[in-house]
Amino acid sequence: MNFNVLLKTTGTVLFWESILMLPSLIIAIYDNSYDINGFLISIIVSGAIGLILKNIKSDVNDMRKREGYATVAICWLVMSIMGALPFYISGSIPSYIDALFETISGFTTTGASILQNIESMPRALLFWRSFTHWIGGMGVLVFTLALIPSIGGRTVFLMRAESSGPAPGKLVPKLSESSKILYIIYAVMTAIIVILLIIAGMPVFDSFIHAFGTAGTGGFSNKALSIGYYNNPYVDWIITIGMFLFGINFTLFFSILRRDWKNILKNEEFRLYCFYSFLGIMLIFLNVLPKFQFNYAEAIRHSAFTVSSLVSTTGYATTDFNLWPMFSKSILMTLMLFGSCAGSTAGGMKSIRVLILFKSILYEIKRTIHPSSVQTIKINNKSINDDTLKSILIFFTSYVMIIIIAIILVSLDNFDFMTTFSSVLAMVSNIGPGFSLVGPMGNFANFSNFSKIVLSACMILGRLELIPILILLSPANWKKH
Amino acid sequence: MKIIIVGGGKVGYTLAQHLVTEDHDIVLIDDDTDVLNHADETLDIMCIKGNGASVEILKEAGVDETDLLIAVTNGDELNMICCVIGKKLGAKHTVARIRNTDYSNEYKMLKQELELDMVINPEMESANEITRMLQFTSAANVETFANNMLEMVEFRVLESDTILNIKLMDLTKQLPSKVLFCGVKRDKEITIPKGNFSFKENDLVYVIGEKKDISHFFSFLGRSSQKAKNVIIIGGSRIAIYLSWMLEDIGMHVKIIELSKERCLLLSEILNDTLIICGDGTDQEVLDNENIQTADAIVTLTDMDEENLISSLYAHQCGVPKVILKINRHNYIPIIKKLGLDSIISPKFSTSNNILRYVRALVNSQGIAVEKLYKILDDEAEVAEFTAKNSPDLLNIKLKDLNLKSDVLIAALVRNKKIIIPYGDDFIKEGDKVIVVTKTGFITDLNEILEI
Repeated sequence: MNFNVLLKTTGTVLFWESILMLPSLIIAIYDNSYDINGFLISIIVSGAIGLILKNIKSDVNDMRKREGYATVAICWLVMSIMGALPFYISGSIPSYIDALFETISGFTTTGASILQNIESMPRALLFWRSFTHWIGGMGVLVFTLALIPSIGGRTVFLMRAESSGPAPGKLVPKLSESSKILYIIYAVMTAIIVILLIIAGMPVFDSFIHAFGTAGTGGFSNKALSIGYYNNPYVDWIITIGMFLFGINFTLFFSILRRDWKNILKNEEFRLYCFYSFLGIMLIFLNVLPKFQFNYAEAIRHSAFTVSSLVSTTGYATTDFNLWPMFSKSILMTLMLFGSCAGSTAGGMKSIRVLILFKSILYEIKRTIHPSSVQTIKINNKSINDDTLKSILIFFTSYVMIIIIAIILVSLDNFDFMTTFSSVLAMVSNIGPGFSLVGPMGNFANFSNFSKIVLSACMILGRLELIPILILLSPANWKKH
Repeated sequence: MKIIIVGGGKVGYTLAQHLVTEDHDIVLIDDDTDVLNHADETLDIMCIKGNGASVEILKEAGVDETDLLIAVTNGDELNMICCVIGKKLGAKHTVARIRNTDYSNEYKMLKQELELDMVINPEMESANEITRMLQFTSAANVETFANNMLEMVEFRVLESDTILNIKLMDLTKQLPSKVLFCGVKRDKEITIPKGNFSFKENDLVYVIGEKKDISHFFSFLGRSSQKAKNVIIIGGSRIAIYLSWMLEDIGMHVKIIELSKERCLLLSEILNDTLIICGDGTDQEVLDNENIQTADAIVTLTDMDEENLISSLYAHQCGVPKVILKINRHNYIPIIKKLGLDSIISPKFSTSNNILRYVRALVNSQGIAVEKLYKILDDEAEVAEFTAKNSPDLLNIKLKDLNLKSDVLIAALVRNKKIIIPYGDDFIKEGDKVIVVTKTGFITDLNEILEI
């Protein structure tokens, strides 16, 4: 393990984090609210540490696979620790563990909150809280990769470790160009949502907050009732479609820019994502219709919103879906596990993995019936090699194991099964709300500190798709020889 | 520039490695996943798995916007097809590696009919390089400039040489012919020698001049035999065939020692005046039987680096004046140079070097005034070719009156197809081709050689 390159990259990330805090500081100064100091101190501390580490001399060629993965894991931890400072220093979240939980929930685009009285928070902190969604959604390292000029090929591991999906690829030959394109698409789409929300009648500040939450598929709102507060069908539909779009693989948006329509319509992952989303909407629509007194418009609006919100792992709510029938809840829970496409800002297992797992089950069945048959699993007409398949099976197994371990640890708090299970699932999949006590109208304030730490760990594990953190934790990684 | 490389073997990878550092956008196409994984993890390039001759794959690689398509797979025919299809789909320039001896006389036609911009044949290039070396046995390496009119020769200064410990300004007066010293490597330091520089034993020197002048210079050095007459080649590879053809043409006596009987038969069919011996080239008895001691030069061209090394070392020990060996693995070269063997041929390396030169020239012709660019002295100095125009500060002024940058040397002028090795009293005229050696880094305009 080469520490210099690791520390240097961490420094760069911290330096940029302090710059990304500036808009919040400006809002705090404009509002003259009590959190100015919080931001000022945090910016100075993380900027100073960042600058010191940034100037460490190191050779980029030392960035091998394990350094790349460990760097990403460390960056996310350090970034969360620093990002929590404004909440803690300003005193609006008195417990540091709570502040850390809130920040990790922000960066990992989970959107689970321990705040019980959101409306009383100063605007600057609310802005920072939602802005972490936007930064974390596409990834901080991808952001720094877009800004620093190309520094050698090996940085590709940083992108691989941070981006979602089994095989994140580049859009264009140069990594920094690729990251730039991703961020430009991301920023433009976010801006469109902001504008549409303002047109639909949402206040400007709220529009930014909810656009960040939608784009990063996070789910922080500045209202306790989430999107339900506005009770505005236009807002609901804009955000429904927005969340759905941000769950799509960004390479497909790049294909649109290149007018490569065939690529999109034939993309099996995208088709599966559409398929289970629409199937989910229809089933839930039929199931909740009686609850809405057969008001079709209302029923479709809320079921579409909720499905889009949970499948894209955002976690916004227009209604308390915790009160829906069990069948709807089971469907929602399945969708929470699946998540959306790889290469998007969303969490969950990703539909490509679901697709490959499903195909490998069929493959195994066929092989049992025709023992000497030879087949390959294909996605988008390209064969999936055994290594990829194996890594996906291992991913799925570790995913399930981590959920089980976390459930056991969280159950020390002695909540009911639905609360315990759905909170862990919602954390690992980076969704936010679960069911029962942690439903859309509840929050995580009642969990013990220990559970909050476990759940925070689940969020980061889920966001970085397990492997970087597991590498960071394995002792073999830290040995010199 | 946007460049597509088809084939990620040694040549393809080396090319990608160099081109990406020169800030080009590279797409590498290969059908071996392991090759692609390695490239993807170590270089900032895009990798596509598939057949480089397939329209779909080429389109995926963005061939319509590509400036250059380089096909360096193992198959000549595949390379040709890649380039043809690439050109049809919109690639602006194409380079194909074609190495089969059967095609060697058809390059002109291939270039025309397939619209290839460059055909590269590593074996033929290597044979060419070896031929040049054999013509100057006392030189370690020979490179040509300005349409082969000008030669740049690398040699190591020996104890017996007459140029030792004389200041360069005095030495220049004694020289029998017009040559110019354009670079010296001493230990690890590179210098462009000036008037009060003097040579020491073991310096690696680059000297530039016309062929005949360089010959004169070497006889002045006191190095007798210029041209090898009896050459022994060990290993009957493709390079050996090209080389024998070339050496036969200039009247050298060539012997090839080859182990495989079948190969020997084939060689005897292709080659007319060459003596073919069936035997093991690493076996000292075989070599002694062939009177290795009396050979002027020995060239080892088997496929095994280690065998080449052993035969070469033996020949070196026996006092053969010129030993040239082929090495495929690039990392062996520094070790071998330490053993006293300076003349090393590495076909894959020279292939990628040649293509790199072509790319650099292409880049240069697109924006700036450099017409050709070569790297010498382990890539630490550059030789660039310009055409002089619009430089009022430079034209018609005696060179000694020009205020040149300290690490710049005007090495040669080409005026009306004649070479002028410029000394202080010469001057540049409009329309001259100017060859400049520099170690200050990349020069984009002739005016930049002046100190401001």
